[in-house]
Amino acid sequence: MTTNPASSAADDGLDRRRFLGAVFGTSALLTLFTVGQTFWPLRKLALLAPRRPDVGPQGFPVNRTAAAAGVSESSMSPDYRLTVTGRVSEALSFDVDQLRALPQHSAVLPIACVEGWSTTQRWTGVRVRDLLTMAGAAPDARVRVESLQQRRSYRTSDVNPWQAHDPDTLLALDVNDEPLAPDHGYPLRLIGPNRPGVMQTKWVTRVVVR
Amino acid sequence: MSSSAEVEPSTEASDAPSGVVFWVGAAIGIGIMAFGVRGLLENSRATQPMEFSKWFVGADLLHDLVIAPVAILVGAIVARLVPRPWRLPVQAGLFATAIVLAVGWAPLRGYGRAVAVGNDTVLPLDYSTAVATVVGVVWLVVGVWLGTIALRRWRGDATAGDGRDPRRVSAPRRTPPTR
Repeated sequence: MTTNPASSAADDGLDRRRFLGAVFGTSALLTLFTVGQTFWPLRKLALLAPRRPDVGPQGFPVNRTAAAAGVSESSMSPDYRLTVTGRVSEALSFDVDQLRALPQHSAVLPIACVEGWSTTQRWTGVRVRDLLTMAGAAPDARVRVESLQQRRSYRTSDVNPWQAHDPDTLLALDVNDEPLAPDHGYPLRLIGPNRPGVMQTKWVTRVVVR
Repeated sequence: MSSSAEVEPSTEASDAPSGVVFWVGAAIGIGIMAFGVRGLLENSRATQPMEFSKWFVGADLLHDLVIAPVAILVGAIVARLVPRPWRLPVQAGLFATAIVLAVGWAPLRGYGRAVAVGNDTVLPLDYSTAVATVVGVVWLVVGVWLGTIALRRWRGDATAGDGRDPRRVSAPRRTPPTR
């Protein structure tokens, strides 16, 4: 670093370079105390973060609760069914026990929320591609999953053909070997790679093949 | 917060906007802004343009009418009260404290809890303690910094007469700590 001989004013305090240094230093400090909301090893340092990736039911955060989504009753109802409809050769319908009787697969995948937090968990459930095969959907099928949630945005999300055929794209029944908590989408949620958290749709009740 | 007019970089020595870089930059920048405004209006149900405008204009007013005058006032007081070699650490500490308070304001006030009733994972921490802790870290760093300056001054006094400008010895140029 060169000194500026003309500037005794520099010793007065924050000149431009030092100001930028202060901006950089303060940014680094704030990053240190917030990055833990997405960087697991620093989670205990996330003092200023609006979320903690280890705080919530089953040990991770919730964006919208079952109560806020208005699905507290419908998600617990014995009448709950998952249906697979649309461009299929055979429409399917499953209750929770029948879903559990299908081949189960696990994937370790993150929920990465645009709010800034993320959390990686081990999910277990039915592969979307297995359901598509059972229903006789075309290989290039696009899929839309629909939630029990009736109102507001993000009650549905689209799954493109690549994601639909990825072995890690699941309709999950379990997280870390426990049934999903109501706020995490009981009985069934979508979880797949390369998707924003808000499109890991919870309380899934319908798969529409298009 | 900069107004859009300040964002355009001028690569010329003069302040008058000119040159290929300026106009290309302006075209790209205006294009991006137009895209943003289009999105703002097209998705008005989600973006709520009136709320956005309130924040867009409000942030400028808050800066120009409150934050800048307070910063100038505090700066003037510090320049008067704090002698030269100690001034930089104190200014840097105040700067960092202000930013930490600004960032901590929303969680401190619990903004967001009201729209997430029943969701205990929103703002789950004790943010008063958190802000106090981070500000404490800032002033710990400032304290160490001041201590270092005091030590150097004391050593500088001890070696006075070696031909160097004692003030420069006592207040050596250094970058602020990045922690």
